[in-house]
Amino acid sequence: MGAHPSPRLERIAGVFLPAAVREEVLGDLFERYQSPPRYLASTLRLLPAIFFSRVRRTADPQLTSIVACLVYLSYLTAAWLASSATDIFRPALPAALTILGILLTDAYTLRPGPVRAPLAGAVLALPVGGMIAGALSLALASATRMVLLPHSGAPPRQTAGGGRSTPASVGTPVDLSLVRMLVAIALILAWALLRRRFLS
Amino acid sequence: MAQPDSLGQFEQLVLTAILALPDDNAYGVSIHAKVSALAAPKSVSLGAVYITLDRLEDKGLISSWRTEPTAARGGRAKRCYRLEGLGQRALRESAVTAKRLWDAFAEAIAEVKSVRKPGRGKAVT
Repeated sequence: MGAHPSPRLERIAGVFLPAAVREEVLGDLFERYQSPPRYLASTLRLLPAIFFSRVRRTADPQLTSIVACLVYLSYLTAAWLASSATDIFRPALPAALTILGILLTDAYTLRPGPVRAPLAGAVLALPVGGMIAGALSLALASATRMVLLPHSGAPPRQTAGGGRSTPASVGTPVDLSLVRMLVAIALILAWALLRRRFLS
Repeated sequence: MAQPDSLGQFEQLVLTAILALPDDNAYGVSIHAKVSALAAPKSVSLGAVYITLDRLEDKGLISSWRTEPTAARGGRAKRCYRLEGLGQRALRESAVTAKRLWDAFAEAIAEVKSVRKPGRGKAVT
């Protein structure tokens, strides 16, 4: 009988793996186990691939773009309210951190919800974005996701052989009229902010 | 009938590995081992295999299911994969294209040889 990873080592590796794939990836790593350092190195080498694959499956490009615009506008608005002379590029950093937080949370949870991911994003951006802007971005991102987030709790599909198959991607299409409406609101807000910024 | 997408070389390797393995034994580690054997001497990472399996499943070329947990895997389940009809068609089309490519290559090589040795093959014009 070969060597096996200790439960503690598996727990450490499990922390880094998204819940949706943790079971099978830990099983695969168990089979390939040679030594603790190699086990951890294999886990770390796998992480980027697993993370990007999960993001590709869980993130809807349209919805992410809309949320990114709204989050950026939240930070821009908050900065503009605090001081009328606002750099339009500075809010990009907390907005990017928020989106990273949203993508990470969606990738690591089994069923992406409307509030948890924006909350994680706002917390991640808190040191550079501030409380008011974070709250505004949380409210806008959560509301948008409540309306547009594709239903993620679909039951597993039955395959021809009776096996269970994971839904390929979280999947009902986003309603385009809502998308257009939100994009229009975001553009009007951006235009109003820029006009105020450059004409004042 | 849905038309399968054209496959990349690595996708062909992964689909061939799944096809070559028994239904209940085509999972991450065994697919990686088979792909590594097919791609030798190039090394293949397990992460690349996972990404490709996810992408092929999203395209509907393969399907997956979880088996019961086993002691051999520390009480963890396997995710097994099988080729769907669309995947089989895509792989067959890729094989036909590869065969045509090989035929054209062999023909071109033969012509080059005959040009270099005019006494034996085709006459040089």
